[in-house]
Amino acid sequence: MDGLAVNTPDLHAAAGTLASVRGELGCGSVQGGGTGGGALDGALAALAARLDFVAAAMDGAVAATSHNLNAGAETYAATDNSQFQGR
Amino acid sequence: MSEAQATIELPEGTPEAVSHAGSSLSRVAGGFESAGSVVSRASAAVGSWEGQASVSFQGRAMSYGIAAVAVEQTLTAARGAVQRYETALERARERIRSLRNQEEETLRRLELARRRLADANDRAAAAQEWMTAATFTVGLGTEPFALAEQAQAQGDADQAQADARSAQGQIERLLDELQELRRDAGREQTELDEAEDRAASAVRAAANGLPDIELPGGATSPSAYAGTPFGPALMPERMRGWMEAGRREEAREAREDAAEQERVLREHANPFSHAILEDGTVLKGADAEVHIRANAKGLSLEEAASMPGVFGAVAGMALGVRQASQGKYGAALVSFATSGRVPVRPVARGAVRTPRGAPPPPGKRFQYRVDESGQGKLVELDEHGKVIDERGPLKREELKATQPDPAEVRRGYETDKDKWEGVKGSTKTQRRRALLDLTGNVLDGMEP
Repeated sequence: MDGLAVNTPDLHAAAGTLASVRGELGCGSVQGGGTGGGALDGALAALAARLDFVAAAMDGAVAATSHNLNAGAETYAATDNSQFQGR
Repeated sequence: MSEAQATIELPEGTPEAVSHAGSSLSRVAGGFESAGSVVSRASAAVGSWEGQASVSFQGRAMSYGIAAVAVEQTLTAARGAVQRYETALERARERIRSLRNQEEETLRRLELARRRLADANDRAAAAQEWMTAATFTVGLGTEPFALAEQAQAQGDADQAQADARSAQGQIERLLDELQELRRDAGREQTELDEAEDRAASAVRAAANGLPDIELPGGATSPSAYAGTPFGPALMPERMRGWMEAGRREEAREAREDAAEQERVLREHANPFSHAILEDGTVLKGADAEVHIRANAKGLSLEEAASMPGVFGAVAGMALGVRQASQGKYGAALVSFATSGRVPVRPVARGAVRTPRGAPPPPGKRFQYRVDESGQGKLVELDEHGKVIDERGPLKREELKATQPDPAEVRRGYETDKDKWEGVKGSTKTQRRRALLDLTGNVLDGMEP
């Protein structure tokens, strides 16, 4: 691994950050509420929903990487020929 | 125009809430920046994972790095729009608050001017009386100072009239000023609404600029089996935000739907503002309509439904929605349907069926009275309980005379149909049409 490699603590930190981001998006003030007549509230809520989806995808990638890193640490190497199934 | 109380209101929304939303966007941007870096490098981290799924995963992880950059741009744009709106909101609130203060001051001065006018008019009237008496005395020639009194009275009358003219002029100026203040406030509110729309459009445009994202997979990743019989359900968790947004939108539409139904019924269907039931319940709008008309007939629903014509159709409809639970109108019909025969007890002629102590509805008060023959009629009472209007038996012709033609009601509906249907789903449209039909039927179906 070079200096840019991701290690388990990095992944844990990223997972925590993403959880915090999703918390902010889910119930934080980015959802709007009390900003005015409702138009901006609606737009912010829609933006929050889209960003949440991106965060969820990133969260999934972090979880997958973490899982496989753990598997590697246990000297488990898999040759994976399965079809890509996730979505 | 209300000249008694201030009507300028501060705009909805607070700069604090907008500021919090902007700060929240900043925090989210920071989170994405930090996590995106890790995610984009994650693909190279697992050397021990080989094969087709690992390649797919690498592609996805790389795309998330690109997405993180797009998210940063999106959030920057959204934050800018929110900050611009925050400035506009602060300015508008400050300006409208100032206008509101000026409005209150103008109203206060208006009240004083009106008092001055009333006082001047009183003085003018008194002077006029005095002058008349003095003229009479002068005519008799019995009082040595009668002429002086007459002159004094004339002077007082002139002064009072001058004061009245001055007060009247001031009132007119103040009314103009009031109108101008309210126009200014309206303009400010319009500009603020436009600023909010611009901010919302900018945020939506920024959101639309986000790249399409697919969730990661990989045979050995936790999410690989999600959505299959072997894994946890992926969608509810992942799509939480979307589902929440959908629910909010649905709730908003439901509120609009109920308000629209109430508006139509209030404006077109029900000529009476309220009805008071035996148990003291005050009904409004559609509920009042249904109950009043059902009481007027004194029929069971089954009996009514077996009758030919429109009335039978209305009753059949009520039977059909016995199980319905949506909407105020539905609830009213269910109440009508489940009660079976609507109770119409013979009572002494002229007796009021409303129990004592029933809360009077706001504004004008109507009561439904039934005579010994079961004939019902609505009477309108003043605040002391005196009958000021008697509509007579609820007969079709009389009702029709007080209501618009059902065809006209339909045309009114059709006018905003496109706008309504443009934002509503088919279910809502069906409900709306059913409501319209029912409204027309109720109007037509007074006599079996």
